[in-house]
Amino acid sequence: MSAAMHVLNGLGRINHLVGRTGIVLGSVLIAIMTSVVIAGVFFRYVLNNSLSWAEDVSLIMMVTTAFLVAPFAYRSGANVAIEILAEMLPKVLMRVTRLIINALVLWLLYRFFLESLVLIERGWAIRVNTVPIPWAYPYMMVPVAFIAMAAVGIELLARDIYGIATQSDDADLPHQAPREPE
Amino acid sequence: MSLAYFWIFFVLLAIGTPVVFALLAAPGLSLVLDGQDGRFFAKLLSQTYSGMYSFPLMAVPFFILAGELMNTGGITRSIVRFSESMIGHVRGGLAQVNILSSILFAGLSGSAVADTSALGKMLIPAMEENGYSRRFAAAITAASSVIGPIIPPSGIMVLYAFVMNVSVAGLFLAGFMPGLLVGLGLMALTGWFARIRNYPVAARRSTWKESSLAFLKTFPALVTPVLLLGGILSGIYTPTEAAAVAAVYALFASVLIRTERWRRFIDNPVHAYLHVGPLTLLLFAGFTDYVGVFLFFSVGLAWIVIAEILWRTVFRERRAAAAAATGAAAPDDPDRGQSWSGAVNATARTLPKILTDTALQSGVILLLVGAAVTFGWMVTVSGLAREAASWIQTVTDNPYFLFFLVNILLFIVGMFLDAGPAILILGPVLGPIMYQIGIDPLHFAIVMCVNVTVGLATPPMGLVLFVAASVSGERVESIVREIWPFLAIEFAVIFLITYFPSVSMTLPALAGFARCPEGATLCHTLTGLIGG
Repeated sequence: MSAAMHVLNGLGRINHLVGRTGIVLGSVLIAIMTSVVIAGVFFRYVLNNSLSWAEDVSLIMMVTTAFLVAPFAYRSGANVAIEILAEMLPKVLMRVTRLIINALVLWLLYRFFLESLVLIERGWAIRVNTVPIPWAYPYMMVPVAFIAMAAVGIELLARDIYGIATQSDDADLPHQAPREPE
Repeated sequence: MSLAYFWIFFVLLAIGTPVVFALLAAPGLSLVLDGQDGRFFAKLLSQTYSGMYSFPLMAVPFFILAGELMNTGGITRSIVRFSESMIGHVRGGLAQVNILSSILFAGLSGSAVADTSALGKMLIPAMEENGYSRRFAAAITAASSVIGPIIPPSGIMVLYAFVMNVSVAGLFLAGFMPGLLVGLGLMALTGWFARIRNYPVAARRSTWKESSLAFLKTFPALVTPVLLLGGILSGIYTPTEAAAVAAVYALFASVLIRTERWRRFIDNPVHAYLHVGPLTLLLFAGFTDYVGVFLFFSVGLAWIVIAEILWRTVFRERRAAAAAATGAAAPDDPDRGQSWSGAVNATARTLPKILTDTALQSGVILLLVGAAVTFGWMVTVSGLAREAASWIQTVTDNPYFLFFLVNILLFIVGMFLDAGPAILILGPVLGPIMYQIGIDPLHFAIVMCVNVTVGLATPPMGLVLFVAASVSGERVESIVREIWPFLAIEFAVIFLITYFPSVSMTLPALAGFARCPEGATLCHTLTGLIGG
């Protein structure tokens, strides 16, 4: 089992690194986005010369941030869920439920990944309103995020399979460990 | 298109699927079952992307950023000190301070979780030391924190306004009175508890100078709502730009209040009031057409010079006394503040964490919004909203009773679901039904926002209950036992604004965002006066 644990930890480290990179890049985009919007107000109100590109650029940054942080949010359990019923289940059943959920998420990511490639393909023909680039460039973040999220989904699935096989919580992430009823 | 996605969504939610994935997987599975995935699956992704691609929605990350900056910049501490100087001397003073701080904090951050965590960390241990039970301290912190998203600015209102296409500024104005009523109601109930449980008096009555100092320390933060609403209502900037301005201002304020120069400036209240009093009035005027921003800056600069001349001539004796007192102060006094560069460095050190926290929180909310827009699209094209509306109208056609039923539904949903997802999922379903029976969109918006916000503090899944439990170390069940009377006050306010629309609608009507409700004499008189 230690070999499986090594593989799991290795995948976990990669996912953690990818997730942290996404968060750091997202935070940089948030800072730039704020500056761009403030510059837009200043140019429009004080210099009487509005920055036509400011809205599109800041919006692209905002949506990109959402996709950048998605893998970290998925891995750290930051997405809101109603876990009241799942937490009442016995440990094994809880893990089985989580396996089903993560398998479903992986299916969704796979379908969305395929659609995102089509989206990029179509994006080459359409230009962003006020910025001289095709939409394909902003769309490129979408499949990248789905691949990173899929890697997280595989890690979470593997951790639960390991937990069922060994009847232990050793491989669980901190937020994932089943809690004993009080 | 079948309605299978609706039932799949609830099953997925019940087994603990994160809401964002349930909102996307349910329509996806339903399309596969109907054999229409080839035709419509691409639409799910494009809707998610375009659902996030909205300028009004950008206010969400900016408000989160402003709240985080205010929290870490020492502003929370100054708000608590100011509240303490105002009402710390009454019986049950610290509990009242907790509520007043929540009201003031609400004008800066739009988040109940931020309120519970920031104020709870400071006030729950202090209340416990003063003889309150820990569960009461945690309960009052959680109950009063829901004022955060009711009094503007409010992240929840931005979400609602975006999804349902109502005015953010109108909704912000509609939130003022309900927020204040919740605050006053909680204070009245706490006053009664303080008498029957003999809660202690926290502090002696503050002197004028102490109150003034506490007020001036909080002053930079208290200007935030003026900057926000003034700019939006005067049309200088949009609500989204206002949120960005609030974030940058929060950064400036957290540097300013750390500096030695600011602390010396407010150390003599007469000197400080001489500057900030007229400048605040001028700021209000600056947002009107009569004065304008440019005149505000010119007159403001002129006033600073005049105030300094007055301080050095008319008030020269006071100035000499203040200079002597400052000179006598110990050089290693920890409250002296830092140099400008020191304050900038101290703030800069906190920025990476603030920005990463903001990115994570914003990303989670934005993706949720994108997923909810996709789900809303499915609700529309499948005809679910239409069917739900006709079914509800077979139950009753009495708008008052229907509003009552909707409130109960929202309350039950709020018990299990976070406020944001509740608005994103139910807004597009319930909104059109309520408009059809003649309820004003803004009126329904404020009732729904207040209802799901109160849901943040209702068991079993109230988010702020968990935050209060984690901050206080008290069990959620104990907090729940203590919080019911406070929740009763909040439910009373919900029904008050439901059946007396003028309570929440007068301010938006005065600003031209809505019509006065029928029979609202005061609202009609005031709008007549302003219009005339």
